[in-house]
Amino acid sequence: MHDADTIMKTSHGMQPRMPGAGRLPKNPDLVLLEVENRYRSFFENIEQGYYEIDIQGNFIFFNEFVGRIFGCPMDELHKINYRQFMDKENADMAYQAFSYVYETEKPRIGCVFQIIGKDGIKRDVGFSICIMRDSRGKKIGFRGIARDISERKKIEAQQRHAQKLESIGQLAAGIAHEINTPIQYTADNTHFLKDSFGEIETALKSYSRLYESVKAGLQTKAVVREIEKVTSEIDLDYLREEIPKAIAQSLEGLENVAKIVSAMKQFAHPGMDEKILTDINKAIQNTITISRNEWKYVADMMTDFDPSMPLIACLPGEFNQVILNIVVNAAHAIGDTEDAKSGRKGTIKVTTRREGRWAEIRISDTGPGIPKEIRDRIFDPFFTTKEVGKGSGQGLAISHSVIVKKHGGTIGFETEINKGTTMIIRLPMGNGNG
Amino acid sequence: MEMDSQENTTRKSILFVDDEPKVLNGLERMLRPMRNVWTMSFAESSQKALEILKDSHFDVVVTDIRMPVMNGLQLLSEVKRLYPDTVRIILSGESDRELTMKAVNVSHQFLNKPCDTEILKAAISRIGDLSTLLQKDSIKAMVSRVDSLPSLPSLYVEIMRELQSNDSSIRKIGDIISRDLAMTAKILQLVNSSYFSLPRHISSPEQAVFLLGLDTIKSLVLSIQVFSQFKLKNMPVDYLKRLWDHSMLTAASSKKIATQERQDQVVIDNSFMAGLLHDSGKLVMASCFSDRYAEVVSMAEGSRLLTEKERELFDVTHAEAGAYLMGLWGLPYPIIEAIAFHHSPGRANTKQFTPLTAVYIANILEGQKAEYFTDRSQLAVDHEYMAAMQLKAAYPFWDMPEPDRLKEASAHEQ
Repeated sequence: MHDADTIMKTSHGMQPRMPGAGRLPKNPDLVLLEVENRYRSFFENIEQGYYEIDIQGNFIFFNEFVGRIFGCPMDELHKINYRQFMDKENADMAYQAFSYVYETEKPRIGCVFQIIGKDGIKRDVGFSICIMRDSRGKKIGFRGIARDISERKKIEAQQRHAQKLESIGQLAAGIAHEINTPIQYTADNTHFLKDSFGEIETALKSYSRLYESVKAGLQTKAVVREIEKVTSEIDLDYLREEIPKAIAQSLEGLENVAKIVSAMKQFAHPGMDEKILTDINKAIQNTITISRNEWKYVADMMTDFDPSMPLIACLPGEFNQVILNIVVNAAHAIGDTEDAKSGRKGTIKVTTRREGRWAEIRISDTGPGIPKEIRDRIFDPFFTTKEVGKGSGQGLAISHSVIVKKHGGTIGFETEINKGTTMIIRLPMGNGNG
Repeated sequence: MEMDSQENTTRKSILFVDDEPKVLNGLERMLRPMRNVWTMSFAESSQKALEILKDSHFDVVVTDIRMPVMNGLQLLSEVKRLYPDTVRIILSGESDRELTMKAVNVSHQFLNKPCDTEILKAAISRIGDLSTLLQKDSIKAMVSRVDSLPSLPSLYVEIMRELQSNDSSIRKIGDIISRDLAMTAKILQLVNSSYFSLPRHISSPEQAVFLLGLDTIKSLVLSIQVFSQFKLKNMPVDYLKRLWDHSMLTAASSKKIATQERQDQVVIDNSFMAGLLHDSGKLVMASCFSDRYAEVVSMAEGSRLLTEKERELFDVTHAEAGAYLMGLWGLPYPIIEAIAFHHSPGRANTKQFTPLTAVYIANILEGQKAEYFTDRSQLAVDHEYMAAMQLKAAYPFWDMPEPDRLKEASAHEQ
């Protein structure tokens, strides 16, 4: 899309001038030679491949760049069929694309196929396809531009990875905070239990002496006085009240830590490139748990999950990433409101529902809403309203690509100024062949 | 640590602030053994903390950073404004570098959650001990409020230029910082307190700079502005120059003495840094009393004893003020001790070689050598202390007078 834009702009900006136009003609042969030279130089030096193939798909005319893309010397490429450079899947896709152009006679741009060059190197190549006719108008083949976009694809993959790292880096700081807090109080309580046990033991010693005295039928007055003294010194009542609380809170702390650690493990799904049947309710709950530090200071979290939600085929790592992006955005949106600045918390509400053949996830915030003028840009790559350094502007663009391209779902939003925004994700139920 | 005191019996009051009540419960229980020495209060929010502070005075506030509505940094800057003599400590699990850097200017120390019980107890106890150095709350307030010491203008310009250049070198920055006592003191605060979770013992200002890293130093100096430069108009420029020269020479000499006395590396490193910082109190005094201190500087260069003049005019000496602030900043105890007692080592109650010993001797040696330093209190020698140290090398001042005899002598002069 961007490339098409650029091309359009250049063609408007610099009208290609026909050599000789607007001047008095010199020798017509000379003019012709000049024109030919110019086009030849353009054809040979343009940093893109130009190809013509016949109706069967054999190369009949092409420049050097096509040879480079196909990893094949120019003279060897002539009359060779493009299918020889593709695996079956790509060859079928290409066949479909060419058939479509043949039938509809409409040109296509941005068809991407993987080429396995004669040199053995795999390249992602973008093609534009136009129908080619002879002088009588008969369809005799196709022509178009071919571009090696492997580099660009690599960069896109890197950006996805960078965004993931960025949000994980931010998460890690939050998670450290979430874990440190229960560890702090659990450790403090355990120290207290250790100290208290020492004190209780001194009391127990006095009690044993009392027991020995009673058993031996001796005077107990002195021991009783000792017990009174010891129990008041160590404040036994306080200990009896506090020890059970200290134990309960420590257990709670350990449970919290365990919960966070297990949620982290389930969040990341390293190296999972295949769709697996996923309990999305649980996955969302997990993401909410590990991102707690990102929202808890500005919002209360409400969840309303459809208990009858079936398992959904998805890439769990990427799905979690999407939910994380949206939850963090919701928290930031609420953090921007005047309410948040004066200490009133907003609400983030996450619901899941079955809607026909879709599994629908709604994530609502009580933030300021999305201003009209940017509504159609929020899924654009690098679009961000956050201050520099706060976000790469990739979060929603990547979420969009994950949900739409990889899952065959949809992502959209409802928003109202000063009321809030609801992001709506729909994933296909069933096999989910997106 | 015992900083000779009669006042140590007074209870210290500490206010803990955290939005997680379980953390407060835990602290309360864990610190129960201190209940006879400390009065502890607990607040679940910054607003509550400020209300409690309104009603009674606290020696120390220990707070979390991330809290809703008003975070710990905002709380501490309020405390700094309203109750400057209260010591401000952060106890936080925060790992966000930006917040941590902002913490530098509002807190004296930074403790990491989860924090070891003993470290927390020691940090707070030490503040109790330190406060015996300064008797008056008004002076404590003045010193506590100092968050950066003034640097020598030429070095300040030099470091700014280096940091703003496109290819700043961390080696050069380390070198500049190690030549400036004010910058060294600040950098040591940052590494010794766990603002950046670094190892506690560092061997030199250069190493500290390396540990913090170029990016952190840049942000700290350029945006958080942890360094400042001397602005006092009445402070004689040559005096500053001499103070800096004297500090550098004393540092080098302290290191040499500790090495000569075959001390272990930690003592040698600390001797160097203590030597560099032993007169940091003069900068503290200059910051607190501004131009009034310049007056003392010129007077003290005459025949009167500097520390006595300081006490007479300000109720505090540069040794006490320097040690107090460096103590609040969490510098290692041996360095604090050396700063506090560099004129009177006998008061330190230690019977073995410490950085104080090295600095004490180095200060006298440098004082003897340099004619410009006519502060004669430094030229007296505490022979009893020196004898107790059982030094290996001989120093060229065994025949110098005892401090008391010197005092009498100076009394006769007048």
